[in-house]
Amino acid sequence: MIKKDLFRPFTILLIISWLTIFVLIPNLGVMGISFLTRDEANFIDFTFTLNNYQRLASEIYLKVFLKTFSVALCVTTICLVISYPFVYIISHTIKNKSTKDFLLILVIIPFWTSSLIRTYAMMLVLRVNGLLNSFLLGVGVINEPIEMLYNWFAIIVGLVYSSLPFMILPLYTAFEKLDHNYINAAQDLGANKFNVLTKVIIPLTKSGIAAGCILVFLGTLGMFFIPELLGGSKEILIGNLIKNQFLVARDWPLGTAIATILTILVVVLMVVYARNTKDTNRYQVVV
Amino acid sequence: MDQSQTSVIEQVPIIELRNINKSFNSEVILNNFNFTLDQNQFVTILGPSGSGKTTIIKLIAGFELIDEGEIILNGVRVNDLAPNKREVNTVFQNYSLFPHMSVYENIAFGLKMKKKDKAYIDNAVRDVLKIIKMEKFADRKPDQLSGGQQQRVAVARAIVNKPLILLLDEPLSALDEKLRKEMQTELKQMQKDLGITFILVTHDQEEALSISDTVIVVNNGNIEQIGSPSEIYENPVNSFVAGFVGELNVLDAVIKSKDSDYITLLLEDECLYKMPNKQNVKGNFEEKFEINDKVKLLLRPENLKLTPLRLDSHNASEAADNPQVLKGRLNEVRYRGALLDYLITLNNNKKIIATSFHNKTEGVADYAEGAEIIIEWIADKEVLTK
Repeated sequence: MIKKDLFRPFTILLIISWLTIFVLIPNLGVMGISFLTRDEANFIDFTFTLNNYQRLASEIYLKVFLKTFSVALCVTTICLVISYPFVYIISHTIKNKSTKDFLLILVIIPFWTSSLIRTYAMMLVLRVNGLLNSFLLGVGVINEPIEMLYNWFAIIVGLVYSSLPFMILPLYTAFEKLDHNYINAAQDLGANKFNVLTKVIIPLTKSGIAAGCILVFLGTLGMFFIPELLGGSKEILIGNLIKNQFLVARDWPLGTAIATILTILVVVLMVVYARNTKDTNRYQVVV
Repeated sequence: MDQSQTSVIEQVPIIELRNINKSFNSEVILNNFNFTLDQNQFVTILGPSGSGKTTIIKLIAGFELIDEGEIILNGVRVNDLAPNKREVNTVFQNYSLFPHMSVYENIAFGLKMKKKDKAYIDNAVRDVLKIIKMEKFADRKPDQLSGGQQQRVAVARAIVNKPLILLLDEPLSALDEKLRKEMQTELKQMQKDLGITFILVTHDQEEALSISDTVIVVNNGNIEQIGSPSEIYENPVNSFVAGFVGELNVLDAVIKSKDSDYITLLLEDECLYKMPNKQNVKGNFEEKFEINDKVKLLLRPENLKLTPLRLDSHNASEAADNPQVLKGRLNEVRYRGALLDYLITLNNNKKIIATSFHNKTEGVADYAEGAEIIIEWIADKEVLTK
């Protein structure tokens, strides 16, 4: 009996210690360092300053932030537009369960592979003598290879590709909960396809849309290796900026300041999302 | 609506199903369905689960498309018409009220889709809210309503569009007994007031019999019988219909002789019974019987009459030897409030059941369990099938 009584506190203690050691303390450390001064020899000098944040207010850094947000927004939109009809079809028009499972597994399998490896694979597809160019040349759509790698196109394609499951899975949960009779009822009452979509399907899958968008948007904000590999280090996003401060410029205080701002933005977005969602759906974003 | 107009409309059947066939994954759901319904009728489609009855509603509403045949709605072929183009509305089994809309918005939805003007919509919605006595609930969300209230709103949301036909897919099955009875009465009243045809799908025979003008009995994708409740109950065409619409005793019999007036049966290898030959009298009764055919005699429990077989009584001892009466032993008397059920075992161990009113003066009620009894029945109420 004593063992059983200890089980609960032990489990909780384990998780609390884990989160404290690996999440809370490092994050506090990051925030702390962001108020310290850069030191060439020892990385940091323990002198309090707001200088790091003042530097970030400059135009160059604001542009990076703005660019990152635009890219994230663009990726989120593309993911939503691609996923929404796909998920609708999987969950509401395909009646054969094995076909359904097969299509979902196609989405999930790449999800299990390292996204770094998938990004390298993407390079093989997109490069000048890569699969896509060879195919287009072979079919005769183009006469000479198109430069598809190392530009914004490649970055967006890579980000969309790696974020897609994060959009599809929450949407799928929402669509599975959507009783098809609501759609029948709307049609029965005279709604055309557009009205069925805007008046019934979208409002009733709102939680899935919000969860998917937040997961993709937040995930994209901090991504650094995809822009680096597919963008050829030409384009700087927040993730690259942070990475460069640590590995290239050796400016830890600035890097942590950027990371802190990013963390605050993420937390604000999560709170806004949670406030606007019913209690039952609030934790869907975690799933 | 004046009289002449009514008669003009009634010339066109409101809906006609011609040779409808429907299968899913090569499994036949509906097999050659045909029926025609008139304006202003309460029709129920009665059948066990899996009989295809809900599919009929889906085909009429347009949620599923028919494989073969024709659906003629008010004189127009609607086979390939999308659900939003068909002038029928449905009350769904789980009501399917839009959870993100208020009661008012739910009811107004159909009229908004038809682009009616705001004043018209407001008037129409207020009117039906009054009909369903829910004016005070206009701003509630569906999840703030009880099951009965949701059901009312679902009906209101459909009838506000003034459909040619209102389809109801087992809308009462989720309600408790008392509420169901109330809603049956309300639906019937609503149908009379609105003057449109209601098609109600149900597996509840009591509901079907008490509420309808016409009952369509379906089983395994086939229409077994179409008729008024009393036709269905008193003149079932086969033992399935007879058994489905009420309690039933089935006696095995062999035809021994027949002429134009009488058919003589050997019941349960025991009793020779001479029944009036009704073959040519009743329309539903199409089967032809030959001598030595094995047949079934169907008897409703309430039509059985029990008489004590007292050995001291003169006529009883006569009856005991009379091959023309059916005899049995009373096993158990079950109390059912206003009714009493008598469970009887025949001499060949077949069990049958007789029902009578509790306070009947001619006293069968005082039977001791285990008593020998004579079983008789009202000659007109029996049904013979193969």
